[in-house]
Amino acid sequence: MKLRFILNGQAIELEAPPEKRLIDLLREDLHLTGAKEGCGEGECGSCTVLLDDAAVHACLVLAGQIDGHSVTTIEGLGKDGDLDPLQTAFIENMAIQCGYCTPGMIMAARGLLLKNLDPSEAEIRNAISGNICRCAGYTQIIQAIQEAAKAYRKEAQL
Amino acid sequence: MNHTYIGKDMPIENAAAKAMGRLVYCGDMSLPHMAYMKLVLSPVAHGIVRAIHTEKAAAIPGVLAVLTPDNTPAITYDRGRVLANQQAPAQETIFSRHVRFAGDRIAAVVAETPAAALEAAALVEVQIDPLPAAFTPEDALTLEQPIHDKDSVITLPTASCGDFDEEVGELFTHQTSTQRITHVAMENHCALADYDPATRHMTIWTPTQSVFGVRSVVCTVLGLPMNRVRVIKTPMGGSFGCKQEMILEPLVACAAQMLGRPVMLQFDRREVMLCTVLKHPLASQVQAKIDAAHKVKGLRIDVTLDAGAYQSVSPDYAETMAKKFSWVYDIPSIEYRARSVCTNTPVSGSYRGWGGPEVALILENTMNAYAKKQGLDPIDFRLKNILPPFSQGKFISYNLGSLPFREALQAGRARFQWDARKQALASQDRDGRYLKGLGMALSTHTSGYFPRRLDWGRVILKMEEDGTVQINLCVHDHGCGEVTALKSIAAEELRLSPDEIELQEGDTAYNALDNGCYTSRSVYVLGKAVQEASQSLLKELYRYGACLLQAPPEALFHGGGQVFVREEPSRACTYSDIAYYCADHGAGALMIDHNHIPESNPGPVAAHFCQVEVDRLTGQCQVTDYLAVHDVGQAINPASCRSQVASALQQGMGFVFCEKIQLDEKTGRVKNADLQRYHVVRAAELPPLDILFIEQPDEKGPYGAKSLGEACALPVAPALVAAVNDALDMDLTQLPLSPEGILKALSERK
Repeated sequence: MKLRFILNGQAIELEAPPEKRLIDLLREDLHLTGAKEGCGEGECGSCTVLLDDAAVHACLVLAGQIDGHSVTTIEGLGKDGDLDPLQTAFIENMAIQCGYCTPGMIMAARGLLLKNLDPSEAEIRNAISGNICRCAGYTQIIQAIQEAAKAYRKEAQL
Repeated sequence: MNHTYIGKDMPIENAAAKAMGRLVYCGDMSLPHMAYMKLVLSPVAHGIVRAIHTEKAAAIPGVLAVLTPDNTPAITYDRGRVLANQQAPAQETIFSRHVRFAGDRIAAVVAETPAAALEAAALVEVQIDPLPAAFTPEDALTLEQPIHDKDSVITLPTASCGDFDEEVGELFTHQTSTQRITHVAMENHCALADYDPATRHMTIWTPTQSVFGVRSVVCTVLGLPMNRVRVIKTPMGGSFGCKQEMILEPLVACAAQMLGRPVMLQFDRREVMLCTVLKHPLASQVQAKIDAAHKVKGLRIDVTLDAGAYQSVSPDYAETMAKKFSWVYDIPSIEYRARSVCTNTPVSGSYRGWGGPEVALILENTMNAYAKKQGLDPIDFRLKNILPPFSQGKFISYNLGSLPFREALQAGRARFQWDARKQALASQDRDGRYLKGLGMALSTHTSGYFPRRLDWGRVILKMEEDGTVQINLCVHDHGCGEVTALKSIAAEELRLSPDEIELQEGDTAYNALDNGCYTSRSVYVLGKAVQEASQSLLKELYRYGACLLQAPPEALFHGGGQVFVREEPSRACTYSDIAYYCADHGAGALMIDHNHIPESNPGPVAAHFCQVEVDRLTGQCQVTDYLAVHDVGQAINPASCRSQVASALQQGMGFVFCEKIQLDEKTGRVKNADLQRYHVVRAAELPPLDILFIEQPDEKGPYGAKSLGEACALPVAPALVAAVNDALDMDLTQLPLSPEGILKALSERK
């Protein structure tokens, strides 16, 4: 089917089978390899992207579902070549190890912060409980998300 | 000592690329004309493949080839060996007509697209005549027809010291058994090979722990000369041991050679869980002799490892465990017996710690159970038995370094408020729904291979004309910061910014032969090599700087990419000036070729302390507090060190409470080869983690560093097990301690 959707802020149009998984559409057709596939069943979160403003697992979303919607991937984060506050916070808080879970983790955090700019630690832990990181213990990731939330709040006040 | 980079939190190499999703992992690569491979796996646990029908698969549009045992090499190899002259049980072929577990490789399809490969692989029809199968070592020992013609069961020679029978003391027996688990590295296995028939060059990209190991296996299987096979390590999305063995690389190399074009094999999670490697299921029996003064006088250990369908590294794994029983406590007599038994189950192999966590679990469970039985404080009991500093274990011939067992135990006791907690818990309501317990465990590990062969760090350090530095060293970053640590070491020595140091990872075309990044050796061995090479480069900079500045080398000083005259700092030249001076004056390039061969291997001490709350109604355990005390010598990058410890805790909690690969008892098939049914610990379940680093520099380590990456994985499980047993006043020793298992044990006690 012909898909019309917003990808990282740009309107695009492409032909794809409606049952194609969003993760495959992104990686194979659009060459956006930031979202990773770790389990293929919505358990590990490494393929997390935003569908409109909600964090979703790209392995569980089908191409047909994105028609008329907006998809944001890790590549679409940040403005004018600057890193998004979440990306900066992940780097500065040493919240990155092997990096394989990082794009999904950041997008899950972005989804949370779009709904709640001042999340508690428990809310953060819950929001990323669908994202697995095996190289660390989530502590630095949680700190990074808290720092980023601060930066977003500051930005919102300006 | 004040350092600029050592001991400072540093973001990991490529942090920005990782945060932006721009780092290219193997599965993100694509090459012109790249084809995709999909395996056909045996649904049967043991049998002989009578027929393989490939016609339907071959007819799918886009299918380029179907690989079977009939058109691929039948050469046997061992997935775990690094050098071809290693004694290793070579039981495996690329594809097999004798399938030995549900998941064994029978064939593969290569196609233009992943979808075509997937579709076609499902259409390969296989007829298998089943054979009797065994899913446990006990059953395997009774099989009439062994799983392999040779080496289905390998019994190691008994390792012993002293005389157990002569030791006097109370006999205390204990058993520990563990389950099969998977590593759950977030990046599933992937490999890409390209073969050019015109030049006969093979290039393989893979997130491996040993590029030379890959080359060795590929060359053996395909009969290629080593200098025409180039293996390049790609960024690794976690390993924890699962990317140590050479599993996918021979397959893609074979297909690439057959087709003369690039071929990628990307496993999904199910394939990783079925046909890479898993942690060994293990059963152990311990007899200990402990005298009236509570000194452990003798240990007799009997261990059976379930190797899975192919022996591979399992006998070696079992063998390395012997010495690990001897280097925490001063035990005069030890007897260690082990056997590695093939079963018709997924292959067991390397897992973070390589026997260390198994030994720690068996030994510490025994120590904790004895202390509990005798009403001894487990810390006091250990203080009576620990090896003194600078001891050596019984089965090794080298000094273990400062071994601060006492400091770790005492520091942990104080920081965790062990005695106060113990007192508080003594008065808890034993009939209440929630019961709390305390646990602790002690261990040590390796910092390298010494005195085993194949342990060196060969580094070429070159200074470019602009004063920046390239390090050529065969390093394989697991994703936990080896490259960052090595760059910090060079930066510290040369007083450059780490940004001015470049270090590409393992590449057989440019690196000197290297065993691979195993056994937590990267910082201790390769870090020292980098440190020494940097010091040599500095000498060269002083030597030529002295010519440029017309001052004696001993009058010089360096910093900020410059060499100065110490007494007259305005007389200075940049590293770049020196590099151009060398080029212009016939001295050639500024380059150091250094070989560091370690002569030491200190044991990094770890003591962990925890509190667990058990819900007697549901059997659920919650870890409420955790302290990890680690003797790291010197934390090169404390942020990475903390991540390592945190990762060890979450993986250890999974091992103890919830992770288990379940096999169907009748078919031997894995019942939960996915992350929906295989549970790992999530962010919301982790306790607050307190970490204390003991930093007493090792004499030989780079800036005094010892290893950490595996050491921190050792004490987690026994500490947690002890806390659960303390809470329940039980002695549960069969992992995992699942809610169902705990409820069953509680109901049986009633």
